[in-house]
Amino acid sequence: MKRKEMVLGLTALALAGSLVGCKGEMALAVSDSSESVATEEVMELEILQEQGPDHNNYIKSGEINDFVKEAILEDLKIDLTLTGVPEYAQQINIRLSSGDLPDVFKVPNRNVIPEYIKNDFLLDLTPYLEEMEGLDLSLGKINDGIYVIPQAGTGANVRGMYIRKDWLDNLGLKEPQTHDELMAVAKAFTFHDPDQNGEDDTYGITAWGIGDYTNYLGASYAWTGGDGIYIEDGAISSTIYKEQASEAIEMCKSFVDAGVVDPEMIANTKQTLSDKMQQGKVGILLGNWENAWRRESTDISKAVNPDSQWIMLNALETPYGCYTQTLPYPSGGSYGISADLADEPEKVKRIIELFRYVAEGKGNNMVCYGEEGIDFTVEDGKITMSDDEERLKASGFTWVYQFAGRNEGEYLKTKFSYIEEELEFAFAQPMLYNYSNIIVPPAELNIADMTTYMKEEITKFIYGSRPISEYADFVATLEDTYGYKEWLEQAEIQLKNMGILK
Amino acid sequence: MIQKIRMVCSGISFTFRLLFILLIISITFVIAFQLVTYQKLRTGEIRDSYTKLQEDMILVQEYIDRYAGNIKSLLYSVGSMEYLFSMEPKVSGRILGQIEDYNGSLVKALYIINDRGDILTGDQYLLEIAGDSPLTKIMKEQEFVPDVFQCIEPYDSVISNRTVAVIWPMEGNRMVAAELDLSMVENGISRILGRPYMAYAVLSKENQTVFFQRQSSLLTESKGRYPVDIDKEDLAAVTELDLAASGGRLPDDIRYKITDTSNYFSWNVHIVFDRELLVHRVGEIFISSYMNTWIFLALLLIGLLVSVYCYTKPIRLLEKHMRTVREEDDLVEIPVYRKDEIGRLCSSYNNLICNMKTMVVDLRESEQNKKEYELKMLRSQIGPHFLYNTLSCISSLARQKRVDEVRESIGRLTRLLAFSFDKQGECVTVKQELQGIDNYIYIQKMRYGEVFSVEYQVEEKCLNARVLKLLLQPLVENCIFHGLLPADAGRRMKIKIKIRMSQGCLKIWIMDNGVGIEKERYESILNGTAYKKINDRFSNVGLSNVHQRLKLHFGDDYGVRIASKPGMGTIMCLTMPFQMVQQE
Repeated sequence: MKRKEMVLGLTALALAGSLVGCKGEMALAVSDSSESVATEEVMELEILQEQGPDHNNYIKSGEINDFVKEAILEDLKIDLTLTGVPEYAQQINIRLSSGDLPDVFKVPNRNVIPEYIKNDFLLDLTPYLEEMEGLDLSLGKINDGIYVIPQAGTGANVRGMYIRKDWLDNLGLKEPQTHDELMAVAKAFTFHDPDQNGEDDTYGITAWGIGDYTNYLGASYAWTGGDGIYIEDGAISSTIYKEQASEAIEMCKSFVDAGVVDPEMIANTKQTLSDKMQQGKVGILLGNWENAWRRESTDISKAVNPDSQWIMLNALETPYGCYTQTLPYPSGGSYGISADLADEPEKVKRIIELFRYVAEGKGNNMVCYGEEGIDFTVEDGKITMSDDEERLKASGFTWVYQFAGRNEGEYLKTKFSYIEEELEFAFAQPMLYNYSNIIVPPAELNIADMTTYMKEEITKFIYGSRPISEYADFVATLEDTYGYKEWLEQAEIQLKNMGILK
Repeated sequence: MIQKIRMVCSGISFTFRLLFILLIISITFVIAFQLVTYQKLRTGEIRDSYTKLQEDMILVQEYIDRYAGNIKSLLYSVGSMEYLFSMEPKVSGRILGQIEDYNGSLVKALYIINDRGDILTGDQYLLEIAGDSPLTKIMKEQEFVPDVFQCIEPYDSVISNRTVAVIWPMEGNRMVAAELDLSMVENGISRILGRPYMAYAVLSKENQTVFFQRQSSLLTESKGRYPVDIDKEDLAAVTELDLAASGGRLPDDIRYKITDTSNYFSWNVHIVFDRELLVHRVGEIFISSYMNTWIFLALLLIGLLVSVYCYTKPIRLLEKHMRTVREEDDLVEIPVYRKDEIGRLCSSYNNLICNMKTMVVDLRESEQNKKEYELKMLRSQIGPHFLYNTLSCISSLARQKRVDEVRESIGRLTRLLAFSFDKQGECVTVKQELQGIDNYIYIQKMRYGEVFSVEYQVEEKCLNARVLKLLLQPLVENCIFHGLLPADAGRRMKIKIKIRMSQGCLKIWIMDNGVGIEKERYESILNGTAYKKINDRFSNVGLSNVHQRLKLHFGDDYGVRIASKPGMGTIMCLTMPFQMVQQE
């Protein structure tokens, strides 16, 4: 009888399992991985940063698990909560001023660092130099202390001038090498129906706003429209004081005057820019590579026109140098550690350990390329990405963990190996570093107002609403009203401190 | 074919067949159950999603209304800043710029018409560059009813891109307007509707596209056109379904949309919904429960194995018991623990075994009886010849009036017959047997005269040995009739009987110096095959009988052996186990 009962029991169990299973509610109890580690060892940590574009959607939908979080928990015993908030600059200020300091937070921009230091939000990491060995801290040194851990610089140039090769071919034109040739091509693209659809629906040049327009068009003049600070011949130089500034503005203006520039250029958003490129409404892009080369984008443009092909142009020839662009000095953002942790050196050390973990080796590969063996494989040190595009899309969230930055060149070549040649071409282009982005402005200067003023006036010059003859007045206002000179002096000091300027 | 299947099936074990049938039934049950569940899940999911869709639509309308409310509040607060309308345009512009920055999630640009009639905005320089926009034209040219908010159809602005503007004409000539940040509205709506099986399209009152979900398989986009627009015909083609009226009824088309315009801007909010994509999702959920199904099937298989094993165990035990029954001694009954069919089957089997046992005993008894009967018959075969011959002889003596001899003869015959018919048992002592022989010899001598002599050579210890009754008499008879009487009358005929124990056996030799017998003949006599061929006056049944009796009683190792040489004589040797008669 006992045996019979056992049999009945088994059958009942099996049936019960099926019934529950059929309802789709039998979530097999997967124990939270955080419980598998001895709790006393696990350190809870919150990192606050800006919200990426729905990076957690795949995780939220359960399509993929957050394997980076799990690996960090397993390898470092850190239970990491990564909070991404929209409108970050405002949100972080609200949290900081309410005294609710997250353990680690991204500094919205370098301009705020002096204020954060003054308000005692940031922990001086100088005592942890030893632990931070291996991290590039050159951009972290501010006011004789190390208040932020900078993300490693990108250092790879993939921005510049892109042109529709098939349009050139359609019109029998060659790749332009000078600004005059560029003008001729832009005119042809605007007025000579380069896509041969019989409609006057194309423009020569577009860019994502006036900044990109002047940056890439003016690069060959070693000039950018805005706040460019360069090191030339061992000395600091400024775009504003360049002799050729007026000439460069004239050049930029000439394209606008010729009517070959996308009239919405100033207002372009990322979406409108990619729409215009993908739908074949513009032939020259001054900007980033993604709309030109990234498969997601080229797939759409090829659906509109199968011949569509974007190539990068060599730097145009001018007497002032020969740059495809002026590239912001390679730096990502930077992360600060809450000053509240001053009494918890062990915790700080483990946070630094986390930064080192994602900065190199296995951890860096994971945050850059995904899960080893699934998203990528390593053979003889060479990383090969998987072919499973759906999976790669799902595992793409890992970039939010790139606290310590990445080697942009390697990253792009690995992740987008299908455009390796194009990337090599772009990397080889000459470029001029613009250091303005790493200068921490003195508290008495309002840099935001200064750059807004620069942008507005340069735009006016280019669009002809202010005569270029007033350029000197513009410079004078910059100096007198906005303290441009003081800012340059500060830049020189800081660049020297950082060891960039000898 | 069916016959063939039956043949194959008949060879498969009962347990396996039971298991197979149960498994088939269970799997069919599981599959049927899963299919029903899937169907229910599917129907339920579609209905739920309709309900959810309606709720989502309400949320979207509320979101748009809240957004519009915020815009109005913002316009009110801008309008309430008196100084904006009276101060230096540059400064006003700068302030507007700052307000725009602070309200970046609401508006892209703010515009005012100040007391001087200038149109001012945060990015004044862009206005200067671009000249009039549709908004500024309307602001300048259109007549407005004061204090009534106006919403302008979507247009492309040099500052705000594709946008919609809201104008608040104030008392006097003052006016405040805002270009909306449609991407923020869209973000909010996509957060509510961000599910893979649906897409949204928001059109203005005059059917201009405000925004729509890009790169969705549910909506067709214009190709090679900028701005990228939704294909209105495609959108119109999508079934319009009044969900409230349908009462959750499942329509047949694949795509449906629900439309609502009950928002502040009177925007047509369309939510397009793909039943197949949704059902596909149900399928995915369902497939995710496959693991459970496999676990269930594994458990089911184990359960079935165990239950079939347990349930068929008595049958297998029965079969095993039955298989071991090869001889009548292996008839063992099965213990019966149950009262069900199996128990009754076991009982029946046990009854059968019981009957068989009785039958075996009966059979054995009858076999034994048969044997004894046969022995008795064999033994009784001696009588008629002997009696016939002896009585003939006595009759002859009587005719010759040899009274003493007749008396002696009858006395001898009487003792011989008494010995022979004695019911005490089958066995006698050697001594008794020899006395019997002596009587017999006397009778034969009486008949044939002193033509032969008999010599006994018996070991003393053998006298009390056990011997089958009337064993030697037929052989001595054979010696006389077949060996001695046919021989030459001139020879002195002799019979020698020698009895001794050898190697645990009692051996009796009966020798004569008569005519002897050919080997083939005595072999056939011993085998009994010569029985019918011989047509002598004295049948050979005697010798054969002795041989058969010895074999029947003691087994094949015992019996009679004969050695003979024609003209020289015959030796017959009887071998049997040496057994002493128990003295009572």
